[in-house]
Amino acid sequence: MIKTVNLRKEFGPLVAVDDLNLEIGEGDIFGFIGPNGAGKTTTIKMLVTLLRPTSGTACIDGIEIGKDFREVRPIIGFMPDFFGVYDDVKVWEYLDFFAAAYRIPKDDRAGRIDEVLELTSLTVKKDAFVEELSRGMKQRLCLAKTMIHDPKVLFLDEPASGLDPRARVEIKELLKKLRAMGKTILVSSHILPELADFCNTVGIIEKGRLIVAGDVRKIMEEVSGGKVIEIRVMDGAKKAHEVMAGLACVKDVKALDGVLRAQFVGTLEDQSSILASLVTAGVKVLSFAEEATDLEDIFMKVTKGIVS
Amino acid sequence: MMENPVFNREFRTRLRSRKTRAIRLAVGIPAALIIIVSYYQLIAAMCREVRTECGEVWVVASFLQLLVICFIVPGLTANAISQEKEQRTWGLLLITRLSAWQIIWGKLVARLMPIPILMIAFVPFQVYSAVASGMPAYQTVGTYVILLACVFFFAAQAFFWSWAFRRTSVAISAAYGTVFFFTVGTLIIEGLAQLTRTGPERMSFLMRVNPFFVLGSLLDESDMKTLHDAIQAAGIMSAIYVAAGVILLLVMKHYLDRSRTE
Repeated sequence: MIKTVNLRKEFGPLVAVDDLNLEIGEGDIFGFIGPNGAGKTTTIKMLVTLLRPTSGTACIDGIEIGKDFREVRPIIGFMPDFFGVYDDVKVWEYLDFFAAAYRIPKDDRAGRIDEVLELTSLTVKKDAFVEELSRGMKQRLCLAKTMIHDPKVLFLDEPASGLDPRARVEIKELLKKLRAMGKTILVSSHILPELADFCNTVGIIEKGRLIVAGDVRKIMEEVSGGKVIEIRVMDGAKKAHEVMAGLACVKDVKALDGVLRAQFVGTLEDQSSILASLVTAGVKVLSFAEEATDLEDIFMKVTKGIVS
Repeated sequence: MMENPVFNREFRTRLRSRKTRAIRLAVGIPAALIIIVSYYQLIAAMCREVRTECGEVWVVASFLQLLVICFIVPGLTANAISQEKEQRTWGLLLITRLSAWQIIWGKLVARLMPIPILMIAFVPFQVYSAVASGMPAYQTVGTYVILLACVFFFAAQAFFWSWAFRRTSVAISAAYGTVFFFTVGTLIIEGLAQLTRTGPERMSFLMRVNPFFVLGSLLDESDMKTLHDAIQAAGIMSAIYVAAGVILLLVMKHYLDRSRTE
C-alpha cells in the first residue's frame, strides 16, 4: 500500500531523511518509532505531499506521489502532531468545511459528520465551538476530520501527544476501531508500549536512516537475540545455572538475587525441556516465565541516541 | 455554481467573530459617523442647490474613500494565509481537494466583503453630487475605476505577502509598505527627481501609479490641456494595478498548483 524507494530529504547540508526504503502492506498498522529529530515527521510530510522529496520515490496505493499528488490526496488522511483549529467555528461546521473541501456531496455530509462524531465519541459536542474543547477532544476532532472523507490510508503523527492517560487510552481504543475497519495506518509515537499493543509492524528510524523494520514479534526476537526466560528458584541457583548453561538452546544465563535470566533460542518444546531439566536436576523452581520484551527495550538497544 | 467552502467559512467566521468586535466597533463607529456627516452635508447641499458645492463634495468623498481603501484593504487580506500558517491549519487545507483558485478567490472575496458595502453607502450620495454638479461621465466613471483598481491591487498584494511570509506581522508590514510606496514613496521620489530635472514639467511614470495624484488630475477641471493626460493616466494606472494584482495571484496559483507544499 505504501512503498518508498530511496526517499531522501535534504534541508541544505542537513539530511533529514536518508534514502528511506519502506514497504507497508494493506491493512497494516505500522508503528514509526525514532528519537526526536530522527526524521519521522519529515517522512510523514513527504508521504502526505506537504514536502517535496529531494530524491527518491514514494507510492501510495500504486500512485506515485511526486507525479500525481492530486490523485493521492483523496485517499490519504493526515493528523499532524501540532495542529490548529479555526476560531469561531462549531464542531459540525469544522467537519462540514473539510467534508466540502474533500468534495463530499452536500446531501451525504450530514450523515458522514454524524458517523465520524460517533466514532470519536464527540456527538454531544456537535454544536460546541471548537476552541472550547479540551485538548483530548480537539485531538479526537482532528481524527474525525482525518476520517471524514473515508481515506484508505491514515498518517497519524503523535496522535496521543500531550494527552492525559485517560485520553491516551481513548485514542488507543479509537485506533483499534480504525484497525478493525481495515485501514492502513502509519502512526508515529514516543509512547512505545501503546504502539506495540495495536501495531503489527514497526520501523525504527534514527538520523534519517531506517534501522530496522518489519513484524513486531520478529523484530523483538531478532534484536533481543531470541526470548528471555526468567526463572526464580528457591535454592540451588548455582546448580540451575550449570544445568541451563549446558543446554544447546540456551545462549546465555545471568543470575541476580535468586533470579536467573536465560537468553533462549528454540521452539516451545525446547522451552519446556529447560523446565524439565531443572526439575530433574532437583532444582526447586518457584516461577518459570517468558519475559515480555517491549518496544522500549528494542528502541534503546537499536538506537544510539545520536540525534537527541 | 460550484460551492466554495473556503469562502463560506471565511464569510461565516467574519460575521460571527467575537474576538474582532472591538476592532469592528473601532472602525465601524467612525465610518458610520463619516457617512452620517456626509449625508447631512448632502441634504444641506440639496436644500441650498449649490452646484459648485456638490462638485467639491464629490471630490472630498472620492478622496475619503481612497484614504479608507489605503488604510483598511491591506489589513483585510494581509493575514489571510499567514494566520493559517501560524495557527497550523494551512497544511491541513493544502492536502484537501480544493483547487488553488478556490483557496485564493474564496479568501480574497470573503475578506473584501466590507469594502463594497462601504462604497455602496456612498453611492446615493455621490450620484446626487454628480448629477447636481453636472459632472461629466468620464470623471464619475473614472473615479470608480480608480477606486476599484486600488481595492483589487492593494488587496492582492497584501494577500501575496501573506502567502510569501510565515509571520503575519511581516506580511502586514510588507503590505502597508507597498501601499506607502505607491501613495507617499512615489511623491518623495518624484520630488527628489524634480530637484535635478531641467526643462518643462511633465507627469513622470512614477506619478502615473500614485492613485491620489491620478485621481486629483482626473477631477481637476482647471487645466483642460491636461484633461487627455488625466484620462489616460487614470486608464494606465488602473491597468497597471489590475495587471499587477492578477500577476501576483497567478504566481501564487502557479506555486500552489505545482507543489502545494507548506
